[in-house]
Amino acid sequence: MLETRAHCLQYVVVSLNWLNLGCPISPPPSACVGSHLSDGQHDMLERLEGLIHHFWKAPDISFDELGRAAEKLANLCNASFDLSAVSEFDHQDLQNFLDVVSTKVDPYGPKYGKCVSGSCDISCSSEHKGDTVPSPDVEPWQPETLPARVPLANTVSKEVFADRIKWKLGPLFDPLPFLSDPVVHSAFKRPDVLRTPESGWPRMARAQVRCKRSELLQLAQKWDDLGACRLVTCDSVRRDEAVGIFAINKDQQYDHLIVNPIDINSRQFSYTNFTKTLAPGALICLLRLEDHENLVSSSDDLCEFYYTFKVSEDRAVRNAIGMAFDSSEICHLKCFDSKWHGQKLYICLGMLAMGDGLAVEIAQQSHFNLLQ
Amino acid sequence: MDHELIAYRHPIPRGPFYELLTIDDHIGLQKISSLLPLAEQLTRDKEVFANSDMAYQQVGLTSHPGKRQLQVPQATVLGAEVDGVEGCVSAPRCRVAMLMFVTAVVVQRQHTTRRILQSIIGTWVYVLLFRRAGFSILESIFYEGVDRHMDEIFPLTRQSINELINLMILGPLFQTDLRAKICPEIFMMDASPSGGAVCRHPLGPTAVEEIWRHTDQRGYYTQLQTGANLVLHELGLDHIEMFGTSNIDLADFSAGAVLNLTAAGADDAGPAGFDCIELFAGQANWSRCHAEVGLHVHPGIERDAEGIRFGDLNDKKTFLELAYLAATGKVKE
Repeated sequence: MLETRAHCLQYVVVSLNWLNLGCPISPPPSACVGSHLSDGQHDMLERLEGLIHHFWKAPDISFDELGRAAEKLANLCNASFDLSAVSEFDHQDLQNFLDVVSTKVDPYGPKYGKCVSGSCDISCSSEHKGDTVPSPDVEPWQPETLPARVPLANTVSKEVFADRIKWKLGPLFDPLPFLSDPVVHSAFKRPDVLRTPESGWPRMARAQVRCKRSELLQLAQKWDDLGACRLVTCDSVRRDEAVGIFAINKDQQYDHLIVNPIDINSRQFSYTNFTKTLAPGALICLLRLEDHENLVSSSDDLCEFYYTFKVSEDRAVRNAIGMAFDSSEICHLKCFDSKWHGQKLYICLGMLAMGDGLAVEIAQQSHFNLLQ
Repeated sequence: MDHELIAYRHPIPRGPFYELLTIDDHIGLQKISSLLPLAEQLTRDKEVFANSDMAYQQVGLTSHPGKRQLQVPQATVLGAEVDGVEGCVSAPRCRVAMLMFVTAVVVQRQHTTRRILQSIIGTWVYVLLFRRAGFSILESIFYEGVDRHMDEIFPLTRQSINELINLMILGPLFQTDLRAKICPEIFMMDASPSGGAVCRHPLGPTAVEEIWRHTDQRGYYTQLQTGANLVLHELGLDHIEMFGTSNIDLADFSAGAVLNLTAAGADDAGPAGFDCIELFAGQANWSRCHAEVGLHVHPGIERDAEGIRFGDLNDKKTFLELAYLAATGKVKE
């Protein structure tokens, strides 16, 4: 391990020297191995060693540890391995470095070394590997066998499967007392408050419902059990304003459900106020500690926050999912009214929808004011 | 409390307690003394999280029991891995390591696609937010394959391969040391295409700390003047900024109040001069709005009921009339 860190430090110094010297083709004698180091350079080496030491102390990588990034990185790995292996110049040292890295984190089989920790449970030989990644034992790719294109698997939007959407809480939270901004307060109750004049509406493609009928019915059943399902007749919603849905990865077990109201969002004024109080994690870099100080962290993560919002009928209707059902298909739901027999109906999500143009503002504002 | 909140484009609070809120995540960071046992220290974070617990229960919100943390020295919060004992903040190291690996694969292949490259660079940009100096490594990589199909394979240039190699090798350094001292000097820079100047001056520790708290979080730049702006500037003919927000109260503006011109602007607006002219006016809404807030608007040069058209500049009479207006300086904007 010490030897590996020493190698890592050497590469870091080489890289920093090369950049600092203006990317020369050959180094000056003072930057070569064996040259005298000044006190300042010794200090700098100590600092670099400290940073490298901290980096190498990271625990072994597991899929769970990578969170939402896991699928993206796995797809990137798979697609990258499909790229050309044409070597226009030799990367002998880089290959050694790759071996060092891959020995530690390797999920890709014997070609790039073995996982020495025994706890390295990333498996890129899972479903994603499939037809895009050749077996580690195959011959290196030859230029003539290169594919013209290498697609990168989409991790942004996926099909919705009811079992992968976690939904345990119902709409219990009334945010209205905490919406201090009168515009947001009003628009939360009546979304059309923010609607723009029809003459200015852009032309948009209708959003897709990326979900099978059977899966949407299962979801509706979940929502209905929690009191979060609404129904609306198809003729009471503009066809082009019925929303789409898709899923994005949450973790290995679950996905987030995203509503895609691209049409309605484009027909409403955007409005941000408390959204400006959002805090990206990188801002923590601006904190400062004295030598005698440490920093401790505390955190709360609200369960299914969006799904706990009680919403008005108007806002629920804004979430009418663009897949029409016969009344006979959904008459078993508790929210069904007998007056709808024989009609075509849309299922509506009766809570705050991820994807709603005002959702972040509503969620941030209500949470912010609740904690005041 | 507002003075404890870390938020984008707000000064960093003085501490010792800092609060971050991002939709469903509520984070508290507390400075503590390393010389006393934690249990013996009275800290604000305990009070804040006890209160938030109560508030959540009262309104029907549930905090995720598995994700709840109180006073932990190491944590990953809002995509930042914070080690409060070592005093380091970075992107989660496991993600950086995986990203180094993926980058190494692309470097070894020497080929990529735009989609793969965009995804890799986008992820690196996030990592570099924790050590912004690293952005200086990247340049040519942003121009790779711009005219290619998103999934088409193309060879990387040597310069871009070098940039990726440097990113990969320097990956372990992209962290911020929270115990780094603030330089007790203030630096000023100015540059033009023909020269530049840098000067510095020592300041007291309190002053530099306050400046640091107000530091711009995205970096700040002054745009290099080019073309006509540069020529006018060097001739001492800078235009007067008439439409800056600093002189306009938007509420008053919407209520129809008269625009509060700068003193210099008001002096220049002589009885024979005009504040502005609208060319290619069409229905002249712009002129009407400016006139309504008290600006002296030139009536325009009408060729017909539709107003002047762009093509009309080919007409000698129109051109000369406009050139005369510009040369006399009677119209400011």
